[in-house]
Amino acid sequence: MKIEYEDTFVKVAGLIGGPDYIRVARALLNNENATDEEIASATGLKIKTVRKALYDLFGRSLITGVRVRDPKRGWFVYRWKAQRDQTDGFIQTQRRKVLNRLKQRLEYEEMHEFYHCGTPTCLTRTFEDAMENFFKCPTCAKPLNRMDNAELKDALRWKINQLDEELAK
Amino acid sequence: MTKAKAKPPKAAKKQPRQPRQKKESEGSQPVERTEEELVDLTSRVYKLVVERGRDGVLQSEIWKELGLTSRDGSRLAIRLERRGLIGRVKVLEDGRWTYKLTPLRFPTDMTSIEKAPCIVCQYEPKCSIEGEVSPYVCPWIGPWVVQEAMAAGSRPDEAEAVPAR
Repeated sequence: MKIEYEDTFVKVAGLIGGPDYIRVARALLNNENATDEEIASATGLKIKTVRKALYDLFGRSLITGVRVRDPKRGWFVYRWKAQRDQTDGFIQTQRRKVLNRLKQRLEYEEMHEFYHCGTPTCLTRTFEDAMENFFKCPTCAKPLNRMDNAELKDALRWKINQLDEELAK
Repeated sequence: MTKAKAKPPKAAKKQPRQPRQKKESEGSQPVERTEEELVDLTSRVYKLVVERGRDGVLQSEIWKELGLTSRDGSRLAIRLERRGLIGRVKVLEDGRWTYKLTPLRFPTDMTSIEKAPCIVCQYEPKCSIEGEVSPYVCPWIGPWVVQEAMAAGSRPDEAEAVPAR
């Protein structure tokens, strides 16, 4: 699904939940203050899927809901509205969160030596862990060999730099 | 006499408006395009408007460039205007009324975090240094970063940004 030239709100929704969320987000932009049933009929999605997307977006403060009484049936329904002014803030927050985690990971990678047995399903061990296990994998009993994490550290530094620059703009 | 003189210019002004009113009424007819097609076209129109920048672009140029009918062009522009993505100002161009479309919002670039695992990670709320799930042992963050760096390295425009080591 092409979303390069889309409203940021739709792009963010797609980032969170994929194609279903994109359809819900587009429907929300086309019909402001729509109910879940209206969105479901506009998108052709199941009401369950629409509600899941709406609650998720609401949980992330990307949409707001107003409880109103349905004039026909008499019960309460929620009318949803996109909070498009929140999307840029949401993106910046995500950037900051990812950046913070990358910095923590880089610090950890720089401070430790890592060992692995070569079996893809087995965990990577730090030097301390490997020594405790006499340099034998506790899962598959293969010898633990030192891992070169230079590529990962370089990639982490590059990504941190990229995100830092974007946040400074 | 003055009243009689004043009438012809009014009639002349109304003439170009009449065909547009007809087009708008045609717009209420059922559209044959699918929603997917409409979405794709809307995004293409938005792309064209954004590419022209603050100077804006004439609505008539857009539908000619995309090979659309004037009705479709105007419907798509109205759709974007309603979403607050573009501004639509009526202008007289070569004796014909058309609309100038200018971008009100530019698309936000989020390619750097588009594939970040944290955004869709189910353990994200629990992820912390002291927590059960932490960035130290996260199995997704490492491969993602390496992949991104490799992809950027393969692109000549960003190759310089990738560290040499």
